[in-house]
Amino acid sequence: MSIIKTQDLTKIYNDNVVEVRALNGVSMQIGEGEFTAVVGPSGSGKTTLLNIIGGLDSPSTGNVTIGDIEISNLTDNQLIDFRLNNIGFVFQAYNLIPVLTARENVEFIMLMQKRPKAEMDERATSLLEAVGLKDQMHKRPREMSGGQQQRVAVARALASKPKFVLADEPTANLDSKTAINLLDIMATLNKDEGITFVFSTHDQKVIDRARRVVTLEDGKIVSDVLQN
Amino acid sequence: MLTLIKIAWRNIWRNTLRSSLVILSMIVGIAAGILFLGIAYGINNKRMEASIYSYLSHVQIHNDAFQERMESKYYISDIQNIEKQLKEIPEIKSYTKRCVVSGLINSPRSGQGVIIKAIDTETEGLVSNLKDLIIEGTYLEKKRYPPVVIGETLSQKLQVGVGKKVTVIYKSEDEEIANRFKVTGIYRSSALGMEETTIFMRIQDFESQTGVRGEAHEIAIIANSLEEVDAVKSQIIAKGSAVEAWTDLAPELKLMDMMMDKMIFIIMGIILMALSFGIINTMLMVILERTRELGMLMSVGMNKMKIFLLVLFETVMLSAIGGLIGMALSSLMIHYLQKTGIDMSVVGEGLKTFGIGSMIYPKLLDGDLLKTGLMVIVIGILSAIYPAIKALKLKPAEAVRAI
Repeated sequence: MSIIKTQDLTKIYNDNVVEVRALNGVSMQIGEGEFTAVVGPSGSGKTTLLNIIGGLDSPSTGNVTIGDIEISNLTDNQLIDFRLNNIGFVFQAYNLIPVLTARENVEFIMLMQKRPKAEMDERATSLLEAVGLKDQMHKRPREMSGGQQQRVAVARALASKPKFVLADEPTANLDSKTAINLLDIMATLNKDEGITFVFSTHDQKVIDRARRVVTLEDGKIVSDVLQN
Repeated sequence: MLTLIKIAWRNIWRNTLRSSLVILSMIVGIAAGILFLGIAYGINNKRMEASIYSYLSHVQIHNDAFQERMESKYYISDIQNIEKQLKEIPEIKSYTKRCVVSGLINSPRSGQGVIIKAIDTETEGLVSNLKDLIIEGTYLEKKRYPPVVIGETLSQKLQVGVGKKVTVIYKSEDEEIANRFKVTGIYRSSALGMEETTIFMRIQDFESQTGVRGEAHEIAIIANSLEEVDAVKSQIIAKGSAVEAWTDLAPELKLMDMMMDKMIFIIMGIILMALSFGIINTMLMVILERTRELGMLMSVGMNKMKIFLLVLFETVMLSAIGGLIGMALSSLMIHYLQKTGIDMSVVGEGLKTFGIGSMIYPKLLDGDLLKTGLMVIVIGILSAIYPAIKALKLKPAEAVRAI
């Protein structure tokens, strides 16, 4: 069953001088429990595609359906709520709240969802344990390595119990060993918990670990393959 | 909400130097503003007190006609009845009767038109501070000649000192009375013009010279407190006489007092407005620095109201820290200076022309700190609006990748 469905997405950036077609008719479906990499060279439209799927940007034409909701029909405020409750985000530059500890960063999302305190405590602990940071939970981001921060970001992305996690170049700022380690954690969560991951990357080692690889070039899907 | 407040508080200390500079500027601005206001109130208070306790008192009663023409024949009607009332009004602290005539004082060297106040030496001290104002000689002590107390400026003009004789001429009813007096004391007052134009003699001498007994042109009353003046005034029923509060007799003093009430808004308003530009600038830098973080918060589902509140809390807290310390510091300074006073003798002459002595005791009006606190919060909120709007205009997809 597909939870993400894009139909003929185009995105044109127009700065009144040059028209840039970042996406050019992208139609795809991502099913529940997938571990999908969107790959391609710089400027191929990976980030634009993820932004549109995540409701952070709107397409010039086409539409995105998450579950049974077409997100282009949502108002700004509905979209914010929708993101909060349905999508987990992992960013290239970790983007944790620097004044909060690892645990507080994870709990923050649940606070916005107004979850009960006991549930927040329990879930934050178990998520940080799942990413191997239980003993680091009281540290602030600046006291942690890049890899550790990105693992906190993954735990944070999962805190809201999202339908899927979007990770835009999650390993771009990490060395290859740390990057593989992070991918292993994500893969385990995917396998054990059934969490759907969609991530963009151009790192071959990361691509090798994905089960499905969607390749973009000049805003078009040029290949869509399943890997063992 | 608590988490937003916690984040805002911690955010303030992310750049300690920058936040400290903003806080320091708030402290200095607010402390200086409040101290300035305290001194202004102190000066005004001193001027008011000098006027009230030297010539105005809180309430005065005169014959209606005396008020208009100031002729000595217009004594207060039915004075015994009025005195009976005064003794029964609990808000009255003390009162005294005076006979007031205009006349001339002459020395061998010079002469001057004056107002002569014939006072009851016993009760006058309960209403005015004339006795304390005497800088040379003594109070009105009768010896061979009837005594007179004159102002320092007048003594210089007449070129007479203590122990010298002067001639005082005044009219009682239709009769002109001239008598030799001995200057027994010279007073100094900061009440405007009083030293040159007002002299004091004993009411007993006035009565013996004029043959008038038990009458008065003026009853001067001191209430228990300034707040009770209106109550005193409203309880006195004096047919044919005018009962006037100090605010009626010297409306310019009341006007100054009312202006002082508004001064806080003017002075603190100007200071806080200037400081707000610094706060806005700081918060704009904060938004610029945290573009990526704000982009992330928007991306993960923080709504616009919460983003706005986050900026608002940080700005208000930044202002409030400076405001609170500034207010505490200025309160301490004013508290200390209330005891020691500020010696302004360097500009003493200048102050004297405004009816003020050279020692100034700063004070704060009730609620001034509360008003300042509220203004700090309001300025904090206003300063947050523009940076918050800037933050809300960020597009999450772009902001999250900002360098």
